[in-house]
Amino acid sequence: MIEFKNLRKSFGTREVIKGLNLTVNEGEILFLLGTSGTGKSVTLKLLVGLLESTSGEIWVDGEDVTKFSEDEFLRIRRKCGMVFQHPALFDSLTVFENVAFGLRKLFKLDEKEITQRVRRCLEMVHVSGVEQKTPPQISYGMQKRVSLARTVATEPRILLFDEPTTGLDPVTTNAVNQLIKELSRRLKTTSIVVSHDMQCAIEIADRIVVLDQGAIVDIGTPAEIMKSKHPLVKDFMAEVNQAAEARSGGL
Amino acid sequence: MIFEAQAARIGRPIEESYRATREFVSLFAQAIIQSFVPPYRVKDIFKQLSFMAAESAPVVIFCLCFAAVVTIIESSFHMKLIIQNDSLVPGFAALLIIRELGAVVTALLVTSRVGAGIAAEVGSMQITEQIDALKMLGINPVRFLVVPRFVASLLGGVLLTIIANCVCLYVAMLVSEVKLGYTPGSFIMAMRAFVHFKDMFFATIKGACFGAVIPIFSCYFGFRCKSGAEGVGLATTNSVVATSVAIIIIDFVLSWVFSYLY
Repeated sequence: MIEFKNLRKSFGTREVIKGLNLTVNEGEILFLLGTSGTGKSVTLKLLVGLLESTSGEIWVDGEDVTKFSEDEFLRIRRKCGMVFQHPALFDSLTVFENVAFGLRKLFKLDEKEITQRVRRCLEMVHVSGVEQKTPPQISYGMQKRVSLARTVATEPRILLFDEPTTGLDPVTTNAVNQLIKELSRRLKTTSIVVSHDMQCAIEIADRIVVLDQGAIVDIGTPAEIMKSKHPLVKDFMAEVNQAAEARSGGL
Repeated sequence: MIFEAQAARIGRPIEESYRATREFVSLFAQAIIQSFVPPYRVKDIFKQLSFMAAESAPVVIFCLCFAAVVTIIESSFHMKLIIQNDSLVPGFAALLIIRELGAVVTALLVTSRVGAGIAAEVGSMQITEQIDALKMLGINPVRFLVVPRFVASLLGGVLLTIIANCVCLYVAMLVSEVKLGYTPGSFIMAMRAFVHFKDMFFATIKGACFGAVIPIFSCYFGFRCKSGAEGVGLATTNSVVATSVAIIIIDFVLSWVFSYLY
């Protein structure tokens, strides 16, 4: 279980997260929704120690990680896998080496086992035949999926997705969203997804958290969020409804 | 209220400078400590050594040939002006080349070629979240990125300084023969009178020190890179400027220290 208690984060004089209180239950898919600059990505980075909080607590499996040193965070990071906004693949390595990278560094596996696991992960994200290519030689959408494969290869218990569909076309966006749902269910992981995509959140999430100006403005199941009276949530829902109308030929 | 605002305005740059210095010193210390921690990434070190030393050698040699020619011609011109003959040129030029020119010019050339490349590479990795991805995979970025470059640059600095000095002396000898009429034998005799083994040893120490600081400054600015093409450009520029200034200051400090040991 992950728990954020009165979490605050400032960059200089600008406070990005203003006393966040949130509990993420074991095995659920939680969406963090909000406009840009509301501290969604920062929340994920604070959880795994890529950023340091100003005050407050973050509890992961009964431990307050805000007091952790860089070495202690390694233990938390082993439990977590993170898909970044950018594919963040290592350009000098092939697709195969990228996916195998974490396995080679974190686990004592023989090459045969690594090869099998890499192939399995690439199949899981529907990427094949590009194992020997480097990231610049494949499309951006493919890079995103390889990044997803690299993240799940180490079999983390917690999956963190930081705008995993940013910059993707609608078809690939849909494919990646389905992958998130499929992987989270199949691997039985706790997933936190940072997104702007309300439609996707309604389809995939167990719970949705709407953030504005560094604070939670609404939280609930997709059904509850759809009935929300908060103006920001209404704006998000209006876009979903417009898209639905457009699809059904209403426009 | 006004006093507090003023204090904050003055205090912020001081705090920022303190933090930057602490981060730099911490990076340097980590690089040194991690260099001794096994397993040693020999393959990566050799790969970096090839990039830093072998691939830099042609440009270093090319530039130092011209530097040697200028040294001989200028020394001769000024000596003739002051003491009416240039008999001291071979010895004086050899000493100047070994004590200063070889190491400093090599380091400045490597900074512009290798240092800029490292800063741009690490900066790009920083803004595309590759550094964060490394951390998430349990990899220490200093160990993974800085240490191979640090060790390779330190060794490369020594090797390039020795090569640069040899080439520079050889060209100086040729120019002395062609332009001033001193035979290679007389050049070597003059050189032996002026130059001692200590000079060559101190030159290699300088080369090692210059080599060591290049990747540290480059990686430091790369890690602090702000997003966007402008951020990478700025990181590269800052890295080259800071390293060049550091090389000049280190050269002064080492020359001053060595002056007590001659």
